[in-house]
Formats: sequence, C-alpha cells, structure tokens
Amino acid sequence: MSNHAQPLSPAPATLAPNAPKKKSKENSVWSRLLKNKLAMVGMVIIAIMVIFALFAPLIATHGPNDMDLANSLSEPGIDGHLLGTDNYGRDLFSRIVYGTRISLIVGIFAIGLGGMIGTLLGLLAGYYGGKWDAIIMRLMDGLFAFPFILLSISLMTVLGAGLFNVILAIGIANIPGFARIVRGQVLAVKEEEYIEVTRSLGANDSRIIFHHILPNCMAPIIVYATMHVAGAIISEAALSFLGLGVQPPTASWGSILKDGKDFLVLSPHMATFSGLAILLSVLGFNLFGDGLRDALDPKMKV
Amino acid sequence: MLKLIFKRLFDLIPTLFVVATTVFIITRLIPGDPAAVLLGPQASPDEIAKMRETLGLNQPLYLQYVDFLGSLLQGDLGTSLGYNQPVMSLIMERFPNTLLLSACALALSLLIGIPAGIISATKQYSFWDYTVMILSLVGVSMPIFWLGVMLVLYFSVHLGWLPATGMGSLSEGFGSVVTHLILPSIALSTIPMATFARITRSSMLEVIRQDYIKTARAKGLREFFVVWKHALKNAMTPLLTVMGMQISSMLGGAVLTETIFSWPGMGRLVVDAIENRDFVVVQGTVLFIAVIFVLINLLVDILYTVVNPRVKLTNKGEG
Amino acid sequence: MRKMLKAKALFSSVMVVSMLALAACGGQGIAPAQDAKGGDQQQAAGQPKDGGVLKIGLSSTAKTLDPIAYTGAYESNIIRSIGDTLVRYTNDLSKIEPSLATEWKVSDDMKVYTFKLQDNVYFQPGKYQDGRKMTAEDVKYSLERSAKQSALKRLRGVEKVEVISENEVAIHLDAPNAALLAMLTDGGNIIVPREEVEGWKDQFGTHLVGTGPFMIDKFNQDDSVNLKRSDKYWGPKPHLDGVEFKFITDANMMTNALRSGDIDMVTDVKGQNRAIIEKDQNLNLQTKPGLSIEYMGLNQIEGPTKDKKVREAIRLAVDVEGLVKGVFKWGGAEKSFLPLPKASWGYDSSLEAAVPAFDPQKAKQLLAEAGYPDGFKTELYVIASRVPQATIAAQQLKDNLNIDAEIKTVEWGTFSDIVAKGKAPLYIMGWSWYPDPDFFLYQMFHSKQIGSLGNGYAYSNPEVDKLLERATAETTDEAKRKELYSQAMKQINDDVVHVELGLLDVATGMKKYVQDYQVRADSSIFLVNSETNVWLNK
Repeated sequence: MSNHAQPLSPAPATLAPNAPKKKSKENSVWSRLLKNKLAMVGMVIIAIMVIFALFAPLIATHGPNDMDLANSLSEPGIDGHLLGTDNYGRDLFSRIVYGTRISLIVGIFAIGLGGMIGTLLGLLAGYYGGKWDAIIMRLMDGLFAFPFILLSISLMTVLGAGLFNVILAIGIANIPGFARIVRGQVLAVKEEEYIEVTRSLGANDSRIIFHHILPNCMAPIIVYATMHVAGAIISEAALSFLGLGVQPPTASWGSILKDGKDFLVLSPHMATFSGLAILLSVLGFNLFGDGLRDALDPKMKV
Repeated sequence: MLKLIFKRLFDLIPTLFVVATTVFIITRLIPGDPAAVLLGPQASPDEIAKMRETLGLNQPLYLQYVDFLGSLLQGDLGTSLGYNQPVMSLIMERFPNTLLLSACALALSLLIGIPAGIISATKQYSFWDYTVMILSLVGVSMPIFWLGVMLVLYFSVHLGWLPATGMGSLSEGFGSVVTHLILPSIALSTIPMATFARITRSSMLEVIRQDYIKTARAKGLREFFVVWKHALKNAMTPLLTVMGMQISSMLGGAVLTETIFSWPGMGRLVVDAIENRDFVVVQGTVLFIAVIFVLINLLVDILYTVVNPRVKLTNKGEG
Repeated sequence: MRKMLKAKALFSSVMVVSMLALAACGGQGIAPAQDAKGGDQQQAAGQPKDGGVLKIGLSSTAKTLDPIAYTGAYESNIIRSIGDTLVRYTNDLSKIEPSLATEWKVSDDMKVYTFKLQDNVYFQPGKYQDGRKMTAEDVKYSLERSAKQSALKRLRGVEKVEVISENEVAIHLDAPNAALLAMLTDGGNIIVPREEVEGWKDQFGTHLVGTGPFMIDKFNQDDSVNLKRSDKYWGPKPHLDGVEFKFITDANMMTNALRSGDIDMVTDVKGQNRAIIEKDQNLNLQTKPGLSIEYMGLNQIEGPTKDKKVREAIRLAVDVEGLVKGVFKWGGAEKSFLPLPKASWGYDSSLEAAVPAFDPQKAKQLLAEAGYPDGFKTELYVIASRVPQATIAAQQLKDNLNIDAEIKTVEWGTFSDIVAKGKAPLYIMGWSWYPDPDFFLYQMFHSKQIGSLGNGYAYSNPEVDKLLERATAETTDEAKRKELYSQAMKQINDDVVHVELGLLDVATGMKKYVQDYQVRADSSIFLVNSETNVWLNK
C-alpha cells in the first residue's frame, strides 16, 4: 500500500490524449479486450467477486457473525470450516465471502464519489480556465500534496469509523486525481476543431461540456477509475487494518487481517487468507484496468 | 531555467496555504479532547479544564488559526502537547530515519526493477519475461501491510533470521542497522520495484521497435550497447515521471511500513500523534510531509523538462 | 497456503535443531521452573553474577520521564529505575515499606505525616550538579512541585511540605487522608534535584536525574532509553551494568524480539504470545493476578439502562465466564466479581456470592417486565484494544435479549470525552491504580466524580458517598477501612452499576538467564531494591 492504485501507465495525464475520437472504435476495443488473456483473468476475478457479493448468503457455509467460542481458531478443513475459524469461532470462509461485499461497495462507491466530484471539478477547471482553473487546481494541488493514506487516516479520525465514512474518506482523497486527469483531457479536447464548430453553431457551455467534451474524456476516466477501484479496496483494507475502517462485527478483509495479526504465529490462516483475498481482488482490477487501457489506447497497441 | 524554477516555487505558495489551512481544519475537527488524553483516565474535570487553558485550547479558533499561520511563517511548528518539545525537533529526529528507509527502498526497487524490466523487454516472451511480468503484476497489487506481516512471520518468527522491529542503533554496530533495514525496505520497495519493471519493459519495447534502434542494430552495434545506450536512454522520461510518483507515494507507504515495523520515523510519529490527539504534532508533521511531497514533485517536473526536449523531438519524428 | 505449510515445516526443523543444540550444551537443563519465585531461582542458578545489560521491551513509547509530566505506566517503569520515592509497596503489595524515608508517623487528626529521611543518599551526577547529597529541601521541592504542578495531581490534597531538619520533613494535608502513603509510592513523586529541573527546563523529561540504581545514558526518541549503573546508589550495588528500555508497540513483534534475543524481557504479555513464550525452551512466563479490572459501565441516568431492571437484565445476560475464556483463549484473566482487584487489601471475597450468575431466562423476563420484550437498540463504546470483549458482549446481548448494541470503536481521546460526559449508554473499559481501594471505589462511585471518566455512568448514591468518605477520613486502620469499603461495595452491587468482566493478570516473559526478577501485581518494574537485585546468568 502506498499511494492509491498504482497507475500502471507512465502518467495518468498522458493517458491516450487523443485516442477515443470516434465511436466506431468501440467494437475493436472489445475485441482487443477479449483477446487479452490477462485482462480476461482480471475480469473473471471481478466476476467471482461480484457473485460472492451478490449471493453471499447462498455461498457462505455459516452465518458470518455466528460465534462458537469453544471452537475458535480451528485449522482449515476441520468441522466443515473450509478455511478454519477466527478468534471468535466464526467461519473464516463465510466471513471472507461477506467481506467481498464491503470491498466492492467501498471500491465502487468511493471511486464513484471521488470520480464524480473530481470529474466535475476537472471539467470546470479545464473548460473555463483562468480564475476557475487557478482556484480549483490550487485546491486540488493542496489535497494532492498529502500522501493518500495519510489524508484518509486523518479524515477517518475526523469522521469516525464506519462503512459510510470509509467511502467518504476514500472518495474525498480520490477527488484530486480525477480532477487532474479530466482537466488534462479537457484541455486537449477543447482545442479540437469540432468543438469550435459546435460553439459557433450556438451551443451553450453546459451542452458543450456534457455532450461533447465529457464523452471524449470518458475512456481515460474509465481506465483510471477501474485501476483506482483496486486502490480503494487496498485503502479500505489498510484503514480497517489500522482499526479505522468498518466496525465489528462486520466482516471486512482488512479487519480480519488485523485480527489475524494477533494470532499470526499459532494460527496464520486468518492473516494469510484475508491477505490473499485482498491481493487477488486488487490484482483482478489491475489486470482488467491494464487490459482496458491497452485496448483503448492505440499507442500501446502493438 | 532558473526563472522557471522560481516561478514554480512561487506557484507553490497558494498550494502550501491550502495545505496549511486544510491541516488546521482537519486537526481541529478531530473529536476528542487532547487535554483529557494527556491527563489519562484518572483526571478530574477541573484538571482537564485547567490543562485546556494551559494548552491554549480555549482560545477562539480564528485566533488559534492566526497564531498557527503566524508562527508557521517563522518556521515554528509549535510545541508538542505530549512530548513537551518543539515539533520541529521531533520531526528532525525522525526525518533522517524515514529518509534512510525510503532511500533504501528506492535503491532496492531501482536496482532490481530496472534490470528486470530490461531483461524482460530484450527477451520478450521468454521464460524470464513471463516471470518478471507475473511477479510485477502481483507486486503492484500487493497490500504492503500484509506483505510486511508475512515477511515478519517467515523471516523473523519462523526462520529467526532478521529482527522484526525497530531500527537498531549504530552503537551496536553498522550491521545492526542494516539487518533492521532489510524487511521494512523490502516491504516498502515492492510496489515501486514492480512499477519500475513494468515501465522499463513497456517503454523499452516501444523504443526497441523504433527505426533508429533497428538501424543501430543493423549497423552491427553490439546488443548490450544498443540496449543501454539508446533504448534505456529513451525510456528515461516515463521512468522519471513514475519515479516521482513512486517517491511521493513512498512517503505514504512509510506510514504503514513504519507502523508495522516500529520504525522510528515520521510516519509513526504522525500515527501516534493522531491516536494521542496531539494536534500540534499532527499538523506539523503532516504539513512537513506535504511540503516534502510537493518539493519532490517539483524536482521531478524540473528534471522532466531537462530530459524532455530531446524526447519530444523523437516523438514528433515518429508521429 | 503451500508456502505456509512449508514455512511451518521449516520452522519445526529449526526447532528440532535448536533443541538438539540445547541438549548438547547440557548446562541449560538446570534452568528454573516456570512461575518460580525469584528467591528459588537465585538458588537454583547459583551465585549472582555481575555485569551485562538487561534489555526490556515496553509496549508504548516513552515521551517524557519528568515525574510531573509523565502519563503512562511504561514511563513510570523507567522512572522507577532512575529515582526513588519516600516509601514503596513491597513486592507482594502487602505493605508499604521504607525507601528514601526510614520511618514516618501520622498525626492524630490525620492531617500531618512526618518522615525521617535516609542520611546517605546522593543524586546521580548531571549537567547542573555533580552528584550532591539529597536533603530535606529536595524532598520539599520535589513533592511540592508534584502537588502544585503535576497535571495529573499525583499528590492530591497536599497543602505544603515543611522542612523540620536536614533529615526530617512533614507533609501537611488540607483534609485527613488515609491514602496518602499510597500516593507517595507513585513514580511521579520521586525526589529530584532542583538544579537539574531548572537547568534542563523542557528537556528535563529526557534528562531525568534521581537517586536510583541507574542513570540515563542516552534517550533515543521513539526507539529506546539506555540506562547505566549509578555508582552513587545508596541501596545494594546493582548486578547489572545497565538497562535498556526498548519501545516496541506491536505485541507480536515484541514477542519475536524476545525470542530472537533482541530483548531479554517483555512486560504485558497477552494472547497467543503467552502460549508462544510458555512453549519456548529459553523463555519463562511469570504471571500473577494484577490490579487491572475490566467492566461494562451501564448508564444510570439516560436511556433504557436508567431502569434498574434493564441493568439487571443486561448483567444476567452476559456470560462473563464465556466472555473471559473467549477473549483470553490462552489465559491471562479470570472472571471478576467486584469493582476491586483481588490484589487489593480491600478485596472481600464474601461478597462474591451476592453477584448473580449468568441466567439468560431470568434476564429475558426482567427485560420484558421493564417494557422491552423485543429488546432495543443502543451503542457500546470501546477503545480498539477491547474490541474482542465488546464483540462477544454485543453478540450475547443480541442472542439473549435481542438488544442491538452497535459497537463504536473510538480512540482514547474520543472515548474519554464521550464517557466522561455521560454520553455513552454502554461502554467497556478498564481501571487500574494503587492497591488502596480509595483509588478504585471513590474514583468510580463517588457522586463527586460524575463528569470524570471513572464515574462516566453518573452513579450517585448518598449512602455510598458517605461510606467512601469515611474510609479515608476516619482512620488509617486497614481493617476498619476494609469494613467500610465492603459495605460500600455491597450497596454498589445491589444498584447494578457495572457488569464486571475480567480481572487481568500481570504477565512478564523473560529469557531464562534473567534472574531474581519478581513480577508485581501493580506491574511496576523494580530491578534493584531491598528485595530484588536482578542479574543475568549468561
């Protein structure tokens, strides 16, 4: 865990500045994506996560909060506990299955929140320029100057623990990244001829922004968002690992890992499996995002 | 060039103002009474009230803010509530430790990441390429707090090879510090290392296919020479950009790494301070980290423009 | 997973090898049995040896050692090796014995305590004095400084300290107080030289000078404190050359450090680390019931728990035994009955029978009578380290009473704020102080303490108030005081203020070569005094 998701390309701002000009490319994007084996592996991982999250009650073998203090920390495979039990005798497999929900919810909503606000700010800054640009981007630079995890930790101490606050904290910390990349895109798109033409035809600002500029920024936004879902999942786990995330008894991978750390030597299964779950899901989003970028960005296509 | 640097430095002023204000607001919004924390469970309300008075916590917020900005301009970060020491000296005691850890992690990630990327690119689709690719994919997805825990489990607890916590001291010999450095450095270097490997590989692949490299090869230049002299040189720009981002995020990663390994650096200082509601330390340290963060980014930007012109030319030629 | 298994296999092979190595050495076989008393150990291991540095792991970072500014037990543990108090508790906490004071007497009105001082005590040399003799003036200075300036008031109710002669002081109190001696044993009331305090100012906290067996050599912020033997010590000559206190905040890392030999001793051993240390051939775990109790506080004036029936129902619905076993899987605590630890002389085991046993049926019935047949929603406040207790308690309340207690994990700062203001409906916390019952019962149950963390449930009973006041103002006789405290505790138990949870052990892990260390119920670390002189059998 360092900064939010590690963008795998050199710099997010240079992502395919002129890639998705025409919609006719969509088909080839899909076929390129489908041909990318690693991206497909990522997609399968994501699909499994979604299935786990949606059908958790059917997949889990036990209630995620059912305690059995007499059988705590039993090893994997014993008494129908696929991955063993935790320190309260709760079934670890079931808790990891339910934990998928938290990871996905936080990943999607935090990025949705940060992405929406960030995109809006980026559009405004990029399109209007001048004072707007200066004020918004100074604010963003200010937020960007904090190491991501430090900003999230500070926000969590202000907001207090809990699922909603985790989403809020990670979401806020993601705003400047989106604002920057969208602004960069807007600056590139704004100068295109057809925008000038549209304007001269009498379209107003909001129409130009949302109907012409935004669609042309979507590709990099989607790639950036996919990769940062991975970052948000890691951040949630990190916050829960530090005890600042969702509240017990809710199952979250980070909090299982945090609990597991206390039983590491005698019962390493808690820490091992919860960590693997985090690693795999982050890998899934990274692989998929990676493939998506390659598919969208012709420069990367060789 | 100098002019540009000065302009950029000047541009930093509003950013830093935003940073300072944000930090101030956040620290004041954190719930919990620092006076109560300081005094512990057995304190009476009178004692707590008195303590608040001595700490200046009863002043109106805007006055506290003016005070804060005023002393900031004089380079004074205030005095810690808990340590009863100037925050600047607390930071200066720990900053070198964080720097040491980050520098080691950076060195490790560059020394392994770049060669791995080169091997991967020059031997595309070989066994080594796949190994590097897969490892680096896992690497960039690694939750380093988990990796830290696993490293400790394996190398400290089971094998007993390396110390798990602290940083040792020079009084116990140089080796003591080195052995303490290994595990946290590995944990902290994982993501940058994997990122460097990936970036090196992809930018070199791009460059290797370009005509002038082909020409160079055709001219019979030795492979090794081609790789180092031309390909790597042109892979520098993306590498540099990523390096800036990685160094910055290492400061954040240090927060977690230092917490896991009890490394006496700034990350731990700030996490402890948040826990103890030592606002003065929190705001001072976060501010300090933010300034470093901003300066590193500036440095990278400057380096970037130094390296960039030539790269731009080749890009244009290609387009 | 395969990797883990492999790790385990490797681990066990390492163990086998090291056991073989041990067997080959042979000599280690005489290592003392676990839980042995210090005296036995000393005999078993032969004559004490001089030399060596003892490295002790502390679970928190010491920030300041200034006796009037320190806040944590880990800090006072370092202070105790550097400075001395006038009097101290014996290792078994059964009585208070002389330290810097040789004898004392209490005036009939219990407002003046007169102390005679040792005549051969010198300060450790420092930057602002060269190791001069300690006098009554220093006692006056140090104690008045503590009484007036200490944020934590470790010396409450002291009006002034009077120098009677070079070797005699009198402490004047504003009200009779039978608990003064207990306060004087606090690390915050060690005697320090004025020159050093005034010379170092803010820096005194890292340059503490006292009269104790060890003096500060180096204070490494956030990492460790190194002490070296003081040649000026008035007590027995320490066997150790020095002591190093190392700060390791993570308990697992701490145990690792102990096993790997980075440190020789760890305090505060909990959870799996108990089992790990017990299993290790080279380590010893010394454990005894301590002065720490844990309880769930029930708000007396707000929410459903205002109703005594609801409180009684909650108390009946918590299976304390199960909870303690669940949280302390590897031992380290027992079920607690009273709001006072067993190690206190005020503990009255005859009261245990009056505490009702776990009875979910009756609990359900009581709650229905109170008008909540289907339970209710509430909040359970807790700090991170007690989340397991809260998780189990909340689950039991849910299962047995259908009470939905949302767990609110907050940091200490927030916790103390919310609880002290009486805003927490339910909360789990711990209490630990001197063995004198005054420091438990008055703090937690006197109505004057409403607004403090101790009485965060706003408990008020005039009868209890009176008993608690009489216990410190009427007599210094322990038997009589104990009787008053028993009456108070009986009433408190009837009023249902707490659900008593665990009584925690003090557990110290150490290398077997650490000799003559005695673990104390109050968890303070004394390395050298009239009863102990720790040495290393290396």
